[in-house]
Amino acid sequence: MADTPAPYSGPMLTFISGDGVHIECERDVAERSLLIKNMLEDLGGANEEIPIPNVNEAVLKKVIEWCRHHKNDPPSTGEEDDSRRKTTDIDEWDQKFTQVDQEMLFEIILAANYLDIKGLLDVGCKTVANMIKGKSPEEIRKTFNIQNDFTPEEEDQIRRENEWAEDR
Amino acid sequence: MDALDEQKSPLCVAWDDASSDPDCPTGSQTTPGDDNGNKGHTAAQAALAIPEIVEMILLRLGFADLLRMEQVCRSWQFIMRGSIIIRRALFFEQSSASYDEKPALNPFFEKWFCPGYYCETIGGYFVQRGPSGKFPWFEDSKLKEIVLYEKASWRRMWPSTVPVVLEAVSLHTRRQDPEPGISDHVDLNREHSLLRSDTNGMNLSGFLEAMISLMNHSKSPEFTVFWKKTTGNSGKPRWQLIALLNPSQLMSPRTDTKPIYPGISKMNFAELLNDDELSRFLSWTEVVDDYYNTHVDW
Repeated sequence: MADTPAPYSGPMLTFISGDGVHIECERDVAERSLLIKNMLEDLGGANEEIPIPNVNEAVLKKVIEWCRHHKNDPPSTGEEDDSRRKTTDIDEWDQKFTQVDQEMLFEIILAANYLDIKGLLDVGCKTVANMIKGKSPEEIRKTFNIQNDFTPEEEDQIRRENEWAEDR
Repeated sequence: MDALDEQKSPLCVAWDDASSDPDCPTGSQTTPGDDNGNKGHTAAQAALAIPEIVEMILLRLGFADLLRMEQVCRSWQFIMRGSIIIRRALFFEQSSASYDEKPALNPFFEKWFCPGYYCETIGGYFVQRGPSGKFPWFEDSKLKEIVLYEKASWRRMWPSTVPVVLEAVSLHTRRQDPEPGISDHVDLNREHSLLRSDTNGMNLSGFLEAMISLMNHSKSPEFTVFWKKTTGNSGKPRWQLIALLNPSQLMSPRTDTKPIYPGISKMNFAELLNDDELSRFLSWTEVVDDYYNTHVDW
């Protein structure tokens, strides 16, 4: 695998996905997840079997793929400042990584949120934000299958309130 | 199938093209059963039901995109109105931004207040220059209606992420205004009259009203605003503003009582000034008036 650096000889652990599949993973890769990291610190020993009931095999493999590629990233430093938060630039590898169908993308976001993998959650949210950019509310509802629960009058009212900010 | 192979299979299309490309392996990753009207529990719906995730996504958007999201559905509107970080990004709240951080200005300024006019630093000031004539949107009935809509959201916003105080007003009495350095010709520390100032700062609506009332008073749409970063009594950063009016470009004799921008500001110019500054400022205005009455052939 192109992304895999020098052979890894450290401790391994095994995830059991929500659909019952056993997936092996290097411990240092798995520790990109703060949930797993904290759990392992509590449990101690190696070669653990860790059930991840909320995440199915396909999603878990994607998550591990991301963690493996990013295992040497510096840990995130708490709160980002406003300027960093707004950037929606995504590095090339992550862009390819997030070129999946919408369902998978949101599965990854949910898994990253559950497993507490800040960097991955960040990439997922940026990707969704990029989909939203420049779209009308109706297009966004269609894209994400969101029901419009405003009355036409209410919607028109909000639209008028914010019309000054639109490009024209 | 080998697990690694599956993992490495080319993810050839973006999600929104997936349905139109049946050969793409990612197409099959959709959760089974959500073809049935998409009413089921899709991951998108599950994720977008978590306020923290919606907040994180929305915070990546620029101002105009973010503001538009209020209109998507009640739940997003609710999340946006309850999130202090989103409210700050939309200038509905002022933040306790550190002094080192560059305070952001409400996009309203660039869009409607000084569109296309330069904003740069001269001698520690940040300079905003109004249009050479009236605001273009004021002359366009449709734009005017949009900008001045009584419930327009900008009226509820702050001008900047830190408090803005319109501190003083000055008249530019010289006829010549050579580019580019207005500040070379005016001593902003001396030649101005202090305004009554509210230390909490004024909101965008108050700011625009004040500026319009100043312009109506000077009978000229020309103005320059000098923004200066200062530290208030509390040690918190704020913008101190000096508005420079330019009656040298008078468009009509001052005897014409018609305001430049009728109907926008109900604020009385005299209310803005400190009591002891009022007479000074008014006598100033008279000097300028005399100048134009004797030197300009109307």
